[in-house]
Amino acid sequence: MNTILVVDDNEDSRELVKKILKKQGFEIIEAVDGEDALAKAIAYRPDLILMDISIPKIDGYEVTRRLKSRIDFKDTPIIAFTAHAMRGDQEKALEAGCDGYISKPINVREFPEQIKMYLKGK
Amino acid sequence: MFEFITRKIGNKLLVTFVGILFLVMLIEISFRIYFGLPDRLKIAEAGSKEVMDTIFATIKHPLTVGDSETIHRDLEEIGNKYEKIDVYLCDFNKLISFSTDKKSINKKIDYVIDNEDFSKTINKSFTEEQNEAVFSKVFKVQGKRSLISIFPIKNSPECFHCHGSSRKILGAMIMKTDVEDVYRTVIYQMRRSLILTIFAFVFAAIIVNLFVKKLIKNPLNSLVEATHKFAKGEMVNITGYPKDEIGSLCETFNYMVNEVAKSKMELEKELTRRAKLLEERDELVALLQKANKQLKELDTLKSAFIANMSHELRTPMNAIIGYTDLLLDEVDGPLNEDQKASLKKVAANARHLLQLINDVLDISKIESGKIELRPNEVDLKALIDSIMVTFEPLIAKKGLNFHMHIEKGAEKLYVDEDKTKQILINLISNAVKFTHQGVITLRARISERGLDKEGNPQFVEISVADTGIGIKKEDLDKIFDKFAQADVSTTRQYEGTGLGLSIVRGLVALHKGMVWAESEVGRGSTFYVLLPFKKEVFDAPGPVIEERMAEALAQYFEVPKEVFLEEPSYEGKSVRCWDYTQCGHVNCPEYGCPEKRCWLVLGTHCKGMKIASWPEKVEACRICEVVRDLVLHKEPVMVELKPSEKEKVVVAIDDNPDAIDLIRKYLEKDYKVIGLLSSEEAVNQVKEIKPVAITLDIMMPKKDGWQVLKELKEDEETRDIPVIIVSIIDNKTLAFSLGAADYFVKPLDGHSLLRKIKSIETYCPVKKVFVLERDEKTSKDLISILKETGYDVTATRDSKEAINLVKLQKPDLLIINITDPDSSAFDFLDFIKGSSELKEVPIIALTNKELTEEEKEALNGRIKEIINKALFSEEQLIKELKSSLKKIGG
Repeated sequence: MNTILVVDDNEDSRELVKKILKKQGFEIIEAVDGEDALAKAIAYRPDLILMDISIPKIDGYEVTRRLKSRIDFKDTPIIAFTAHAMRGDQEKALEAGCDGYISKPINVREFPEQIKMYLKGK
Repeated sequence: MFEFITRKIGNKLLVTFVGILFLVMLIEISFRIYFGLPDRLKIAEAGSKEVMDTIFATIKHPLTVGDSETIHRDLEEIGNKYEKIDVYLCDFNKLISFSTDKKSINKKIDYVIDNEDFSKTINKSFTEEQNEAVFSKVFKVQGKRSLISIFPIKNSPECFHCHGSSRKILGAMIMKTDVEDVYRTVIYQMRRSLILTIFAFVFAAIIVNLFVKKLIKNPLNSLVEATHKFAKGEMVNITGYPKDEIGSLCETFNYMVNEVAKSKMELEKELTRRAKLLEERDELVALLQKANKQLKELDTLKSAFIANMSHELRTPMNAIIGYTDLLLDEVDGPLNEDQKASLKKVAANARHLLQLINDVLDISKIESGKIELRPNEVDLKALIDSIMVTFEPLIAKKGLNFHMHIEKGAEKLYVDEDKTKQILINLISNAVKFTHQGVITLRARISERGLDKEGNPQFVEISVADTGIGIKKEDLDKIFDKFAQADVSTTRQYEGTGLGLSIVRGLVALHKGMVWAESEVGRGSTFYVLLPFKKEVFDAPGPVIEERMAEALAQYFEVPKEVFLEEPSYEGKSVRCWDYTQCGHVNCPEYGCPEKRCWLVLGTHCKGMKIASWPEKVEACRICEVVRDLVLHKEPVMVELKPSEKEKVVVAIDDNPDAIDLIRKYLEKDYKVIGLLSSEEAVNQVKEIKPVAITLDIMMPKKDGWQVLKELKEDEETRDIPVIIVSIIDNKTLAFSLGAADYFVKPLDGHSLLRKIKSIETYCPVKKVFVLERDEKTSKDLISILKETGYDVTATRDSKEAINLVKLQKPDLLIINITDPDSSAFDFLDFIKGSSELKEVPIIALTNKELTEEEKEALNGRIKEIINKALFSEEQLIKELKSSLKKIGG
């Protein structure tokens, strides 16, 4: 069973992801801000992190950078998960060390497949 | 002094005149002095002679008779009568006997007239006989000049009886006349003359001066003065000049001044006009710059605001769409039909809302210049087909018809596929939206606008015509503005943001193309876009402008055409200005201007969205019709069609077999797909297979797709094979920088992939195939296979006929069965070998048996492929042949 850390300050968003992914048999851990995300990532060692970029305290780019600088997170896919859809946002996320990019709103039907792909590519 | 004279002609003349006058008078005086005195003396002398004669006549008789008293008396009388005259009568011994001066009697004459010269003269006249009766000469006696005349008294016969005849001369009568007066008179006269001369001289000088002044100096001075003033820029005329040469000079001067003044006035007028124009332009530029600056600031603020807003809007949309879809998927339990219908409406509206948000985002991206194109060759028909799939249900529902005409040459575009799709979707959806009955027609043709420097077309004109409600003329130019639906009242009837056409314009502008519309209310509208089909459009660093248009503009604005070819820029951004239109529009800044402003130069920025409905530059043109004719009446140049594709191999590299299977399913109709599960050996395998294209996954174990792509592009053998990335992660930037041909994000759109591969694979140069096969069945099979694959096939069973046919056909490929019973096929091969035209044509040899070494030798290595029919079943043979064809064709 794969563990996924969902970082999002929007509760509805988190709930939606949780609902979709739980159905697929994933275990979900939630984090509401950057600090929370760092703490939970280190504590739970998730198999994949869905990282919202605009989050309080420490933004998603920074959290990704910090995690990716650690040896134990080098192979953990971190997927940028954001409602920003401007050109450059994607590049910025990849630059920060994200392994992928899923923009909101998500496609409920394709979302689990996308997550699985990233897990497979791990 | 001299300078004063030499500097003025008047003075020179004056000096010359006066000088000449002075010289003449000087000569005159000299003559007077030189000749005056002798003349007077001569007169005095003559007078003296006469007086002497008279005196002598008077005294002759008394002298003869010796009447001394009478002599004395006579002499006294004479002395009284002539005050200035003294008369002496002396004897041979020079002793004075008689005289008017009594005191001198009995004195020697030498004593009385004390002058050495005189003494000598008198002695001479006594000793030598002189013929002259009277001898006169001026002597100075006692400081006074006196004319002394000597009258010798000759010894005449009357005298003989008293004096005897021994002497010829008895004495002399000497008369002394005081000539001081004569001298004085002469001097007086000289003085008078001198004074007169001086007076005359002064008078003449004054007169000459006056004349010179009046005739020469004054007119010359005024001419000089006028010239000075003229030189300083004052336009003066000379008045009151005489009618002589100077006068005509003055007249000429006046004429010149007037001409200069006239042209100066014209020049000034022109200068003022230009200055005014410049001023106007500067003002306009300043205004535009100011406006532009403000707009830019506003734009930046707005872009940031929109980016934020879009984020804030998309976040709740995520929950709305997500939960609705979950409910619709009955994740939380079954729904009844009413609930389902309601939820579907929620989902549809949420998606529409999302579309609006995306539109806003698009426009802000276009405006802030954050869109970069990835232009590629795109098949227009396939592109439209993929779009029409989504429109077909709606078109069918509304009972409309859709027609598509793509003219020859306009099938291929060189554009960013996604953006072009967006452009066409917007245009077609508008047409569908505003049309209630009738036809929507899409046309594509080579445009005669936007030609390159050689005058070749570069753009395809795509038009979407509908039979809808139409647009009012005055609204036509506003429809491309943001948030502008033609009629406010239509907004309610027709939903939409009014951003669609703005996005279209922005995207078209990025392609260096144009968009415009024609419409008639109630009859329908036609929207035109120009999109490039040549890569060069993007290669040109500067703006695109037609050479001929630039020439026309240059001629009109009297500047070199390079100005229009190279420099059209505004606010640091290049401006293209190659379109023009008939003016007379109410929105035109020159509307109502008495000077007919009949065309406009449309300027569009290459980046961003600064494409006003009305251009930055509006200029009048007299030669609009000329330009229009120049540009419009040109024969469109057709672009050659590429030959049709045939079966090729595509290599799919992916560690997931399902993904390869999916690709195979999409491509199998047109391509043979070879899947490579391991990326480690992929590059070597690709070298062997030589596919026409490669699809490549990124996230693969051991060696990722980036590495494979890099290696493929570094190897000379595989460098030219197009690589299409098919991956779950989206990093187009990296992919394109590494040389990927395109990028597809999973889940994969198979149709697009197929189209892409079709458009980028290298096409086969072989068109015409010639078959020589004796076996009827094999021959038939071959013909059908080849025709199916798209070749032009000619076949024969007779090698002699083959030679004749080949000469005419000039095929690209020969398929020959070389193992016929009579070996005539070798004759045919020999003929081919000897023909200069055909010896390079590749040959596939069919055999019915294994060839001997000899036979192989005879073929001399010219055969590309040898297929032994005996070794294959019929099906295998076809397959083998196909692969051979591929190898040769590729």
